Amino acid sequence: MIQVKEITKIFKDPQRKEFRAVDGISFECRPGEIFGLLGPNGAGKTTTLRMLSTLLTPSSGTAVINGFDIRHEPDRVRASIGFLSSTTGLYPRLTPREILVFFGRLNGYSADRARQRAEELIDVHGIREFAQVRCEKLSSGMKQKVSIARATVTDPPVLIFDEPTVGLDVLAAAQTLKAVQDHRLKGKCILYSTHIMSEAEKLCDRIAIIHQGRIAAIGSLDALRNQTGHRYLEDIFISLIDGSINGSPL
Amino acid sequence: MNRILTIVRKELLSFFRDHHTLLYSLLFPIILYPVTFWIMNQIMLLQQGDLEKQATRVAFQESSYDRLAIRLLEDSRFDLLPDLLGNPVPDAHALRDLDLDIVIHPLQCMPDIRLEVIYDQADERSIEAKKRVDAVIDKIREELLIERSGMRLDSFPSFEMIPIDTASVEKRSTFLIGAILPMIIVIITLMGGLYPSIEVIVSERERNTLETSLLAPISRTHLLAGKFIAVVLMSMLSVLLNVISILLTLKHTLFMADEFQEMRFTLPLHSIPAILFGSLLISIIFNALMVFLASFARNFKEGQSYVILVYMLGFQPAVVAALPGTKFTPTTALIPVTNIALFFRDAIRGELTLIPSVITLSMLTVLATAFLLAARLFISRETFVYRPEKETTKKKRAIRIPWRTMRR
Repeated sequence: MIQVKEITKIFKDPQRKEFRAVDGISFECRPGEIFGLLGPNGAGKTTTLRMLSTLLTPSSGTAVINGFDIRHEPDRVRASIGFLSSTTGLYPRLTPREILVFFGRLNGYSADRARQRAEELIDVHGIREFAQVRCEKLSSGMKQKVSIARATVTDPPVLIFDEPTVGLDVLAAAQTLKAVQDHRLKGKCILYSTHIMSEAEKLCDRIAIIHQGRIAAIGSLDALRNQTGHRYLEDIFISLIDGSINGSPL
Repeated sequence: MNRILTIVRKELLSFFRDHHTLLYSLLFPIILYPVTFWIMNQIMLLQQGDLEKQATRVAFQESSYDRLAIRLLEDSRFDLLPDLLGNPVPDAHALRDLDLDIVIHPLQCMPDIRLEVIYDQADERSIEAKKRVDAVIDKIREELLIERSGMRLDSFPSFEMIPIDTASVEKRSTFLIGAILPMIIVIITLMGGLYPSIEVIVSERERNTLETSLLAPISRTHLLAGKFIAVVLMSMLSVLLNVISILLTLKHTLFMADEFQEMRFTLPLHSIPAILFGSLLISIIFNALMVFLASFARNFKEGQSYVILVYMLGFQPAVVAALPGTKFTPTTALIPVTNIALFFRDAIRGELTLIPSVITLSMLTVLATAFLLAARLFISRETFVYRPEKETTKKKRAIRIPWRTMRR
């Protein structure tokens, strides 16, 4: 469902000159699977996800999502994904219902279909109580529910989450994780980026550990344990990153 | 008190270290107004010079008052035309049809002198003609006073000049409104789009909703078009409401005053589509420019400073249209903003001419398209979504240095 092929992103910075944020990474994510991208801040996770959601253009390499190439069919790629990050905000002066209808319409739904879909999502995500309240007045937990509903307006086959629990309290974070797990049960292909070890441990079927724009290791939690000899993900992560820093082969 | 002063000091320190505040609150006004007024003054002198160079076309209605006729013949600023013997006393149309600026109708020449001076208060050439004739008549009066200085007061002949303004109340009102309304339309168009143009991109970027919008399966051209149309509609709504409000205010306040009591304002029906189309074009240009500039801003404050620049510079050329003697010609039609203000003025006065109008509308359409294309090019860049943080530049440091020097 997601096939990433040698994708690279180079930013040109007047001070740092060329900066490789993502350096030729490849991975695959299948339907019904949560694939985790785990890495420290600045590792290249967000850049990778922004390229997959067509917000950024790769410097080289490409990716195919739901059969569509991110370089050549960006509109179709965006129609196939639901993207949620800590930086995808909600329009503060619109209500959750208005936002859901708006995104339904942008995705080509008729006015009636968009309204109907909005009501379905309002029920599924427990939004009804505040569906008519402007988003600027909602708590962070409420906003996150609306954001997840917004990302799934078209019931897309691929969901991309970029650190979706950042800034949330424990309850709201737990609700978000539950929603992600529910979507896996529905057979969605889920790409989940985080720097929180417990989340990756709890959610992900397979994990790619990313550091300095490169994939340091990739596999299921058990495979990573076997590879490093450590039991806990935090230890696995540190041993891999240390290896990378010290220049040891990964 | 010390604490208040401490806060004052800290705030001033912040202001002086912020190059936007320095530029727009201090430096820009200091430079802008002298330059603007100098340019205006030059244009005004130029226009006044042109008007003064033109000969006044003057004719006598019937039997001439020889003394005045001789004076006018001697004066190169007058072009004395054959008497209008047998013609009815001219009205505004007749003045225009006969290509005359002023007509003198001597009612009585001996011993008392009574003259009717027929002119058009809603025509700049005619107003200038009246001023010139007044000056000549004043001179004749002075001469007569000297000549008759020995006479008894009761036998002193009278000299009466009766000015007759052929312009209708509507025409005079329209002339007045035509001078001020174009400038107001331009200013309101700018004001109406000021905040929406920042809001649609910079505020969205600040609130992280721009990324949300870009995730929808629509092209960036469509996104820009949607946002831009909304800004233009807000700007046009602002123009419409403000013009209605201004006209109602004039009707119920200014036109109630004694000197304006007879004033009436009627917009020529055929001019309304021209004014609406012109407003739409100027709104597209200003808003395309403001949206384009605001797109470069990293935050609302920076966006505001870019857009205010357009506002401060944008309305200045419109002032030219209010200056006496400015004509809507193919040449003035090439000056952006001035051209649309003159277009509005002549549309309101019902005097639109084809060639300058076509030049103006074509030029503004080209400009609007250019700004929109520039904005489209910019939004396709990655920096449109994720503006990089600003590095400390040499320019910024240069601004800090004087403040440090001042502290020492």
